[in-house]
Amino acid sequence: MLDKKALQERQKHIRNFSIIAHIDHGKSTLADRILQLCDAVPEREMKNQLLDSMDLERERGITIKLNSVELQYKSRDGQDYIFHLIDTPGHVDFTYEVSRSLAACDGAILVVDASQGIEAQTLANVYLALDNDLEIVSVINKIDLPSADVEKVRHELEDTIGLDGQAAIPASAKLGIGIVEILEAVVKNVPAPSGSVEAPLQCLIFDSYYDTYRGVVPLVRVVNGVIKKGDRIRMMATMAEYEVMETGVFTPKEESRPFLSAGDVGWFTAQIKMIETVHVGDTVTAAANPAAAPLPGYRKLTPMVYCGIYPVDADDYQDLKDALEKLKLSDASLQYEPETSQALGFGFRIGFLGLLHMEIFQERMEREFDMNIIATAPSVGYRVVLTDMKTVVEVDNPAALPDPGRIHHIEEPYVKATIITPSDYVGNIMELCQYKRGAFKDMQYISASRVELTYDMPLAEIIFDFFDKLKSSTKGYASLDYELAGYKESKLSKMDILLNGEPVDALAIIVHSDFAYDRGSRMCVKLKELIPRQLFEIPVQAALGSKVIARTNIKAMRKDVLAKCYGGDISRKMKLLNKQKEGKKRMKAVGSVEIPQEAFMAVLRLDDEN
Amino acid sequence: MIQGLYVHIPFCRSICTYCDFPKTVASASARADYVRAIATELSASRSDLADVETVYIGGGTPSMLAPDDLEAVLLAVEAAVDVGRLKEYTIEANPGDVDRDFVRLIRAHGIDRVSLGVQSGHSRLLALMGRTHTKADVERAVATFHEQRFYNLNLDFIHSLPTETVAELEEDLDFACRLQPTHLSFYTLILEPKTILWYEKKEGRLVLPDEETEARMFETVLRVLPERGYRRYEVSNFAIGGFESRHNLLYWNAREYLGVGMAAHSQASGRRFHNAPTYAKYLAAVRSTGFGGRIEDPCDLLQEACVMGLRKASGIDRGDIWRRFQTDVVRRYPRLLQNETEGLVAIDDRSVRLTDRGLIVMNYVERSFV
Repeated sequence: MLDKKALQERQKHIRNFSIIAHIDHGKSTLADRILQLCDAVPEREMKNQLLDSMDLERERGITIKLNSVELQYKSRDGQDYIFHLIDTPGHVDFTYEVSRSLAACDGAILVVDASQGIEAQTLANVYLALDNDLEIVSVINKIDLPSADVEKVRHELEDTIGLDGQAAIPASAKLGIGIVEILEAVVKNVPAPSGSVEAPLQCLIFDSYYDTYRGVVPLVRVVNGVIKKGDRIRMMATMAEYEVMETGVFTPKEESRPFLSAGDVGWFTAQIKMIETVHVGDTVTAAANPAAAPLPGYRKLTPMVYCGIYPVDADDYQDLKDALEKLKLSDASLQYEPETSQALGFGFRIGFLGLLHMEIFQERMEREFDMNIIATAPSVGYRVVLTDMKTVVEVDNPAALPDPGRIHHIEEPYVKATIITPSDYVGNIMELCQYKRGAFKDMQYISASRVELTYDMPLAEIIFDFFDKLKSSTKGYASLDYELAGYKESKLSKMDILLNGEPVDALAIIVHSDFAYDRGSRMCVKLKELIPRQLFEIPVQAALGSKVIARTNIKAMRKDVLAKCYGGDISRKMKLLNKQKEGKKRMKAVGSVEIPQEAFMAVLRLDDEN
Repeated sequence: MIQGLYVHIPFCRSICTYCDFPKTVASASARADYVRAIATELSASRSDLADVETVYIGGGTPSMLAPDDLEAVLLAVEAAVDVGRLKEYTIEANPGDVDRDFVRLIRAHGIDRVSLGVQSGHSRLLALMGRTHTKADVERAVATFHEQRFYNLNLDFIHSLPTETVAELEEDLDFACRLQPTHLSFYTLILEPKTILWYEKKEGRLVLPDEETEARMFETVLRVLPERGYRRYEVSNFAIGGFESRHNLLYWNAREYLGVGMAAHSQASGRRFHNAPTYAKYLAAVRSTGFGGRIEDPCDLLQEACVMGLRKASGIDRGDIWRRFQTDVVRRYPRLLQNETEGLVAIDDRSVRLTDRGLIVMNYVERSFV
């Protein structure tokens, strides 16, 4: 079975690749077509977005998690090939997932929409692929659309990225055009995995998940050596050792294989119950014959936005902790530490890659772990320089900001934002960026009608509602990518929110002084809208230090009684009451005031039209 | 044990602007078909109706049925239940439909209580509700009943209507009391979705009284009627002692009842179900099964018994709940103790009931039961 010659021959026929694209350029549809062409899925089991296995992914039509699948492909050269296709997310929040999947590949199919052309995340993903030395197969997708302009996209590929535009394959994943050509290009252009079956075992863990019966299931790319049942393995970072129980691949169903050898992408189980011993990015080696050094792992990730997560019921704290550990297995980008809030009790401060990531996290907590949680107002991470000028404190929770007397100045994170837009909207975008405290850096024409704009902007401004605003001011045409670009001093202060005269720490936000009055009054109005009336009047105040800068009142409940309730009304009445219970699930009593989840997110919606 | 029978007559001459009850404007032959379906359903349910103590024929507008159709309904009821043993037998009527023949017909079949849809004594407000009768029709109808020595009458009123003033409500209260009914219902207008008023509100053509005015109107009703001898025994229901509606108390005491006719709701054998909600579906269901559809609704009887019990002035009967559910209300729903300190409920050994303060924010107190 483990004949070295045979394994080496097999390795020559392996191709490991990803599909990368800007969101909505047709990545998942192309993956579906490739699976179909390789007969991976019987016709009757065919459904759209096969690799998006989470309900959430299908519902939203986005890919959140990377997914790998092993395929058999008979090439025109008459030989059989083994493909490992790794699907990747397209949204900017999930760049980290993309970078992890790319590290397990030797090539990438770059998909560009024939009518949209190159977008901000096309660029970001291509640069990631080039950083990983991947061979790129360019595909111009959606050529069936009336607005498709293949030649224009070829030029953009050449002018903007420096790829050979003429080599790009025109395709329509929807109609199944060009799929064979793409796979032939993969066979021809993507190199077989390097690595040796004879060298000591080295597997890169690029993802993992938790199975109640089998423990942690790491997903690995085998770089050197062979891994099989009965092998004693070691996690190089944590030194934990386990005995392999089973090895296999995804086809896309989980399928057992007798072994995985150099070049393979698959999974193994080893009854790993200690979740913390498995790190995504770690290297698995053989305990008996360990590799000299681990593989280069992943760059440590910087969360963009933080928020506090608390159980609605304080008794669920331990369950929340367990759920976080399990979720971290399949969401390596998640970072958290315990925190305490006067208003909300014991919880965690969690770092996210963006607001979408945060939203998905909350939904997964509720759906997959049945957790009932409250999230506080999100915040970016600030650097606070104290008056002694020596101490710098990192603050990612507005409530934890030191006393103003001790603060010399506050620095906030800035990003380099890249926006690609049809030139008609440049004016709108400039106006928006200025409003969001952006500093113009550069403007480049990538074709006659499309422009790439570069701005320096505070991360806080971009994280919140910038993307929605950008989309609405450009009829949805502009695309955005950003990367952290250091810290800058800003005129920032903490704005407290007082309910019934008491500051609620979980509602505090850090604001730029020039915007404090405006934000404060908007915040009060928004909270009045979101907090249900109680039996007594509740003053809502925004304050800077001890100075109240805005105020409104939530009027007391005066009359709330159903006049009529007979036999036919009971079912409806009870349904309504129990629906309130659902709503109540996401309410937290702070003092005598019940605050719904939306109120903590009010800061995100200050610019909404009322 | 089914103690009450409700028969639904879903026909109306015109549709009132506030009404969300299942109803339809149908042809004479469609009405006759419906009456036959009712008779079929009653006859199929006969064995379940042995212990029935109250019958209520509601709508819609039962009084608009042709005398022959109405008599067919009454005969069908008599065939299914022992009318002689009933403790209360009510029919709803429109003031404009009442004449001597109507009173004679219903009395001949054992009906001893009539609920009149008066709604208001002000022509402006009646017009706004889409009601076709007048104040004079109401006076005439009540006089007709009294001439025939038929005194057990309920009058239904609605207040907090668009443009209505507290003074107008006080006039209505006086008007109602002067007619000397045994029972009065004064409802705050509920803007039910998909009603005509609801659409007008949605389109911004309707200005409803603000919450403060609505509260003052409700408080006016609560103050005036007891002064005139009508004791409040439920949120919106008032009666001379002994004339509380036994049938409606079945709902508030969470007892079992069977609903017959289109969309009628039932609670029996620990289950809750309703009939097919449209005319065609109801008739089809009766044709194929003899029953009206019996679509199951989710139910939590204890929770319902508490929410309904709280509507009564006497409150939730702790002993009754204990006997039926082997649980104590206060222990099961401890938030009631918080409501007690908030001054919203009064708790003693026998009952949990709303205080005056609690009554007006009852929906808030109900949250204690979820």
